[in-house]
Amino acid sequence: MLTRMGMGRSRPAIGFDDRVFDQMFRLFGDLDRGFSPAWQTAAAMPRIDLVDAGAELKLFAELPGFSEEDVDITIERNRLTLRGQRKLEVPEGYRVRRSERGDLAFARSITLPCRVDADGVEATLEHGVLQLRLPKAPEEQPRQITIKKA
Amino acid sequence: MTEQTALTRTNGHTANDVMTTMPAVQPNVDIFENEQELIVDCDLPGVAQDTLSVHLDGTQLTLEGERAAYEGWSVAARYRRTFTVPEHLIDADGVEAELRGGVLRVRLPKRDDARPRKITVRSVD
Repeated sequence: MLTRMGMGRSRPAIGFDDRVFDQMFRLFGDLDRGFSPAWQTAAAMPRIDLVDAGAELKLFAELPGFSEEDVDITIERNRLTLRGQRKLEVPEGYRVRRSERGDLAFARSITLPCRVDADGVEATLEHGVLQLRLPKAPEEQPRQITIKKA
Repeated sequence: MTEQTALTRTNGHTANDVMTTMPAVQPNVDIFENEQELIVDCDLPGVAQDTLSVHLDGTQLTLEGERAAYEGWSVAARYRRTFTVPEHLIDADGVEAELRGGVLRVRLPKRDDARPRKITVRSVD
């Protein structure tokens, strides 16, 4: 039973002189880990979507448990960098039984498909998803061309 | 129940067939324990409260949630994870769940008779 617990990323260091603890190991055993190809597990890198919405680009990044202060966004020319850090907060007086979410620190850079107006960028964080609205630079804006009558 | 069956399973409580037959993503969890309770923290980014379900059925604890597609691009996602809880450990009526910033926290209080007890030794002269 003890070795099965090793399937989690960190193995809790605790004494096992207790029946209840013994049961706990059976409890959070491996039933839920029976079948998990790599694409099914959330990666340590946040998932990002980037959408071209015409006049602006939209970026979505999954950042569960991050607060506004934990995320740092920089734009330099058409290079966008997201940095974030989330600390594992163990509630006081509790033992860690499984730690998969853990501490998370990442930096991810993306080359945007066009220049954006960095001053006009808006960022919101809701339900653990960061949404960036990146208005395209004026020279990148789509233009309607009117055909002149002959 | 194995995870394979869970992947193809359809569940009765949502109307959207595409959703329910979609392979589920296993969200990451942290589990904490003290003498009174267990805490399960689960990353569920983009999941709103109305698509979230926390279900304790006998010894099976199931956390499930759906995230809508992001505007214009990404497909929707279904998160699902099941744990087995030992019989007679959890007080099912006392289970509480809250969702904050894409993280679900489930509190599972232990039943009174499952908590460790300190035994006082009387001295007999």
